Amino acid sequence: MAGRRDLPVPPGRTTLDGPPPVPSSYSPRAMAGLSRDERAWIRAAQAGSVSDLEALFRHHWPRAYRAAYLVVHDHAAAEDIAQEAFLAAVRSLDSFDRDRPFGPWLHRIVINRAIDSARAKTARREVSGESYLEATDPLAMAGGNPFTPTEARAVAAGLVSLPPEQRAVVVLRYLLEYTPGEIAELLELPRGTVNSRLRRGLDALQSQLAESEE
Amino acid sequence: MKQRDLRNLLLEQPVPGEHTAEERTWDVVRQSFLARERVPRERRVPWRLLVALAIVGAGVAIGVTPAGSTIADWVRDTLGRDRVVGVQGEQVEPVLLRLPAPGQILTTAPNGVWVVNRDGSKRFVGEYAGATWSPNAQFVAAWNDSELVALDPTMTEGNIHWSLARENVSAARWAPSGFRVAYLAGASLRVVVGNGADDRLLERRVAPVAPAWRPGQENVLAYSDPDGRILVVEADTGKVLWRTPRAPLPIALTWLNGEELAVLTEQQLRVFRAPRQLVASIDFPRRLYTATGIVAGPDGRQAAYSVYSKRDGQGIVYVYNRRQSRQIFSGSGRFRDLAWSPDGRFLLVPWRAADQWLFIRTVGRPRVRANADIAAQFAPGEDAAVPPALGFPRVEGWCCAEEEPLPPPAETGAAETGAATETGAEAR
Repeated sequence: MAGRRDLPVPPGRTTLDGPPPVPSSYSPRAMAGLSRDERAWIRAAQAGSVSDLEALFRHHWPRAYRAAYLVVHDHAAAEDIAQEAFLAAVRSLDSFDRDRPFGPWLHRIVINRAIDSARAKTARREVSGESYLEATDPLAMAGGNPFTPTEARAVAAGLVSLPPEQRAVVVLRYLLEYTPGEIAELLELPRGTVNSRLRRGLDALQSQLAESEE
Repeated sequence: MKQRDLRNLLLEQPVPGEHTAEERTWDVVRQSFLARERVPRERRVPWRLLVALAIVGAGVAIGVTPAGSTIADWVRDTLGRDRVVGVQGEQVEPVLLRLPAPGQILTTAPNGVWVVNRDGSKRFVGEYAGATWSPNAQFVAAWNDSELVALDPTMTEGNIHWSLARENVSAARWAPSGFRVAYLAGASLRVVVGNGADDRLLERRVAPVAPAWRPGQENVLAYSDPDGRILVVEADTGKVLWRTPRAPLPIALTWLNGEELAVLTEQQLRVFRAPRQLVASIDFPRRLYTATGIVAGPDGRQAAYSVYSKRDGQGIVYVYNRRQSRQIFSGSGRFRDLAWSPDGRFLLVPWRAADQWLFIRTVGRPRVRANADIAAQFAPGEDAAVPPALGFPRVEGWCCAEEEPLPPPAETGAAETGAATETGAEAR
């Protein structure tokens, strides 16, 4: 638990929280959150505007919560994780570098804490794959899903079967749309490790889908 | 399966409670935002120049003025070598003569638990690893690796009212009502009735932090789980009244005025108003500071907390009151185990690095009274070559202003047989 969630201390800062000021290269998709709106929200929130903070929060909540949930498979834990990430954002608001994207910084906290939580849960055997499948039965989903229940169930089962670290990489790559290089940077991992986790994760998901089609 | 298909599948996975969680979280985030205290940015200060000017100025003043000479004597006598004090003091006393406020101090030295009376006299209570006062100082709950005992602090090494055989006991806290004692046994949290009866498990795994009873509410207890969540529960039923999100493990919990719960981690002080409404938050940047302790004042309206500055090795003591923090003292080394006098006028700051107890007046004009050679006073007859830092006692509490008649002693071991012996108002 310790260590992963902590960001490196950038020189000249008084707090660990907040995006590091070192140059980085996020893809256009990852940078999409850094719109003119987002800069304005952050600037206004730094000046004390609650409504702009709310706009920032509402913009980022869905993906942060979903990402946490897909890694931990526990909605209470996902709420805690996403909530802590936003509280960390509030604590470091004054030292935010407005030229840095907010999303990657938030997602780094969410994913690292989700990995910690999933590991701890695995160790405690609190949640089994079966209970997750019961709780997320795709048949109970609302309309609008273009995929068959079988496919959705297979992806859910495939995710459950992955170790938390692989789950996290799949979520970062395919839900949050970071490139492998960005994921390596976010998780402070070698790019080769990210690629191998992605490969194994995709293989497992493909295998589950193939089984479901048989 | 194409990348886009997988993304859509992930986006379409049902995620229970998303919108209710969003509203709950926004409420917490908003409160945190409104309650935040901005950390001032570091400013570049010409420290070297200022220090050089100060040294030159002080040298001139001390060398040429009678008042300067007096200050130099005081600094030398009070603080010894290489120690810096942040407020003007009175004078150092070579031994602990008399407490500046009513009450008795409970302290644990390497050889066991001691009580220091108002007149400075000391009484050895017994060979225990830690202790805590009952609400009116009629009893002391003390513990070691194998047992928890309640004893009469007016007797030297004896008169145990009840005892419980438990392994790895620590961090016992007596409820303000006097009717319950909470304590840690290994990683678990247990609660026993004040007379030693009905000892039971409240939580199997908790963080190694002393639980905190809520004043003014019957048997409501706050503690931390191993994930840093703070839970506020009814101790008798185990019902969770509220809890906070996961966070780094706290080092101390304390209630303010019975209404707000202060949670201190190494990097942050958070104050919650029930239920889990965050009303204040102070960050201690990891690179610069580590928080070391907090204790609420006797009226609960204020608290004293201490931090350690990694940059210059200084400990700093603050008083927190009405969302504001006021620095009252700084000195080399780390400060822990702060204790308020029962009348709230003095703060005891144990200063291990200087082997002193400092009594700092926190009302009116700040003053400090220092008592030296503390370690030796709680280790009579021991080898003088032992470094004071190793024998420096831990302050457990300063209690209480009113001295009440003691109840008649009960038979030792009554609780072990399950008998609910009445031993006075605190042990019902």
